[in-house]
Amino acid sequence: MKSSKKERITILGLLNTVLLLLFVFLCVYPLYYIFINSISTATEVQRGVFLFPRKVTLMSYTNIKNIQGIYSSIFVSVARTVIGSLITCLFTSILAYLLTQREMPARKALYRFVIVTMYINAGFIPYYLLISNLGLKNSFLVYILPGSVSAYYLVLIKTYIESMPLELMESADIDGAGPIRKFVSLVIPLGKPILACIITFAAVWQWNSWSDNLFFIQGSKGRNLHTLQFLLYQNLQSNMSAAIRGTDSAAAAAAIKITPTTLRMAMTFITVLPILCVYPFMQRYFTSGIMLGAVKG
Amino acid sequence: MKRLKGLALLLAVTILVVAAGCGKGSTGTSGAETAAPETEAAAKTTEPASTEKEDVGTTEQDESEASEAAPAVEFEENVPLYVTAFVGRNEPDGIRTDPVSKYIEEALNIQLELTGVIESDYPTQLSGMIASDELPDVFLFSDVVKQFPMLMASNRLLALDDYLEPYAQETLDDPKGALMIEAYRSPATSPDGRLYLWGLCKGSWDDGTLPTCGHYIRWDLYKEAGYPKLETYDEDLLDVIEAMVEKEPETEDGQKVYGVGAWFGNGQDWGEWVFTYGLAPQQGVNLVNSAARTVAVSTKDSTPLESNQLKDPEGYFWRAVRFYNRANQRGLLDPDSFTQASDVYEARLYAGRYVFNVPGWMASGANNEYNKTDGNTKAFVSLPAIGSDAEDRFGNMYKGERAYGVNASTEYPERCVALLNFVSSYEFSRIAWNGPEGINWDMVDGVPVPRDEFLTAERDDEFTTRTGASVYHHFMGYGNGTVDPVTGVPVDLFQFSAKALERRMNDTIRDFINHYGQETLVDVYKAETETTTAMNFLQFGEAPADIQTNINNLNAFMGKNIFKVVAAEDDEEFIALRDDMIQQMAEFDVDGIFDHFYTEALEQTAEVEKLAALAGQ
Repeated sequence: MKSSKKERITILGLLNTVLLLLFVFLCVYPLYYIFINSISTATEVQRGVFLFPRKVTLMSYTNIKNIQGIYSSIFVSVARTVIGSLITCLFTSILAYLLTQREMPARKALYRFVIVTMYINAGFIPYYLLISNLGLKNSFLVYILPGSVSAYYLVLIKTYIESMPLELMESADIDGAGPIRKFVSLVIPLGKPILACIITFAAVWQWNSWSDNLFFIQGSKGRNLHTLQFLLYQNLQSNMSAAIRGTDSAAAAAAIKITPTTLRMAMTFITVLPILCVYPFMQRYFTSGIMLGAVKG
Repeated sequence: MKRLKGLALLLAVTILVVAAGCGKGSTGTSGAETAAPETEAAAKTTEPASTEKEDVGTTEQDESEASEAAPAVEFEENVPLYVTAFVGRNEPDGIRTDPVSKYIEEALNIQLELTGVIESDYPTQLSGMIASDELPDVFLFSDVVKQFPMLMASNRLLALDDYLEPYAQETLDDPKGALMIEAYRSPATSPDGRLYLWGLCKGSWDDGTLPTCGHYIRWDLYKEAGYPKLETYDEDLLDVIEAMVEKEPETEDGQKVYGVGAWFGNGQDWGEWVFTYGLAPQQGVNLVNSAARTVAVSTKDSTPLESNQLKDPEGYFWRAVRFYNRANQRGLLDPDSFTQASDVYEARLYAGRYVFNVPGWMASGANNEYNKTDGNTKAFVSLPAIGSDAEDRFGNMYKGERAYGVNASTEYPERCVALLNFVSSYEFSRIAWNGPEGINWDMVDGVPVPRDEFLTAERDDEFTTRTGASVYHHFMGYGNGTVDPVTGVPVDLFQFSAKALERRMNDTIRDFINHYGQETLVDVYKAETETTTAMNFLQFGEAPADIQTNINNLNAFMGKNIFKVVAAEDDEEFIALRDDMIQQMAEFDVDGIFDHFYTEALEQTAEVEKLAALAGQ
């Protein structure tokens, strides 16, 4: 049977469409702005590029492509993002699950101990000493282990687990399931939204991190362990200091084609793009995960 | 319950095992992990082998005639040396492949493990290395005043005195080297009169024609405006700028030309740069940054000025602020100056939107850009001092702009001192700036001459790595404008050799020289101003904690409020805002800050005289 009902265009609908289009524009334009500026010449960028790229050049991207070690750094960044976010998710969820178990001895004290770390930290030097004494300097694990358990994520996961129906756990108990079985067969499948959410958070954090590279990966031993973000940051700093310090005006003059602004635009675009790809896959879990955590918290 | 405990145990064990496992594969990078210092018995002193050719591993180098530095000491054992320095980051950290690095390695028989620092993050990095006792063998100080006392207190610095004669005789023999050593033995930087710091980048960053800060104007427009009267900074200069803008109110593509721009958007410190350096050095005075600019020192003879510059409405600081305010009142200041950062300022300068500029390197960059599009016409030229008989033009970094130290726990103190000595020479500086002889330059009749392709090369990472030019830009003895007394040519041939200067010469610059009736740019400045070389030998140490707190607060206060004064709509409002700020400064004990540093300056009279005598004054 053919539907004869015609969609009517109402003023309210039109207004909604316009507003939503405006909202989409507000969301998309910053990224688009970065992109068109990254492919325009420095002089044009200085004059203002707002709608379309002007005098298109890939100079900034070529400069980035020529950074030594850029390809291995992409591999390191992807590896730390994938491994790091999975490990964070796994370790944090195990601890969160343990802390929801009433039989767990000293769980409240342990939970409070973890929560305190959200508000109080010892500062950079003790952290540096800890990493150094653990032998994590110039090791890939420095990217993974320090962030393997996060207090903030723990609160989210714990709250989510506590929101699960108690009857489900009890019936699993009656069926003879132990804590590990319950964790694997109940908590993980039911906790997909929050876990997806945590993976997204952790992946973004891992992808964007560069300071651990700066402080803990040095010299020949760390030569192949640099992350993409660090190399880009370092390159940007070199370009800026060449421009500022004034000791190498020849280099500064050569850099006119790629001012720090155009370079920054290109770098931002390169770094934002991959992580943007993560969101669509996680989107269906994302809203429910973060909302549940927030409401029940 | 048992399973629950098992799961908890599993988590704990996993973390421990992974953490412990990774520890085995990782070691620190620093010499501090090595054993206690012991003498390098293998080192032996030889005759200076100045004619012995150094193999840098390139064919071109092999073909060249040797004129390069050779160490007076040969080392038999090859050892690793960890160095953290402010150098080019064209290659990843570790052992570099460029010919200059190879040249150093072969001359001193070392594996040079070089880490390049990012200036903004280095203080934190250094703090971590100090705390964990992982300092490299040789390392940069990013802030001597703060970091030196910290390292001395923890006994992390090696006294270099005992190693000077056997391993650094060349530096001792070099008058500028001896002056640097003596300066670092003075009470401000040595509690016991011994040498703990080693200065690199001595001399000058320019040859006097491109001072780091100057009054640069578009001479082509000045000429077009009929050379209007220019005798005072406070009045004439603004009239001149206005006349120049009238001659070119718009750029070719229709953008408005302003007389003056700034980058106040950068905020405290860098955003205020034009107030600190926009006037004082051009009048033969340096405002002392570490004293929150309360104290000013004459560049003629290191005498501190009697007035507190921040409180003196007619002092150098407030005159510079008033200049920008008046420019604003007359519509000559780009209104975006209040929000834009320096990179935007620089891009606008290059686009021809300003006719006046202060930073020398930006003027140079703008001229390079104009040369591409405007050929022989547009050019920024640095004016001789306006209304003053002295200016800070020909640099005199007698202590060196960068200070380095040697780790007290290094296993190879001799090699560290030999390295510092080796990179301190004029010869190495020339190689550091231009690459080894035979690649970018040749020695012709005792004079280094750059090759044409060097002067036109695009200096990207590939070029830098291939030739080694400028990799060691802040780890060599002399700034690029310093003249080598042997060759009579500045060490940076790309910038300051006769050939390079001729390439940059154009009709506008010739007109400037002719206007003053001289032969060269350098002649103009020397003829027009009595004293053009700064002889400021004062050294200020760390202020007591209470004074330092006041300095920090005062700096923050200035950085927050000074731009409001620039924006004042008329003279009356300017005076009211300025006086109000001066009054409020009492809250930060501005008098106490001034008294502390002024007294300290007076106490150094004898030390200053000694250093001035060494400098040949």
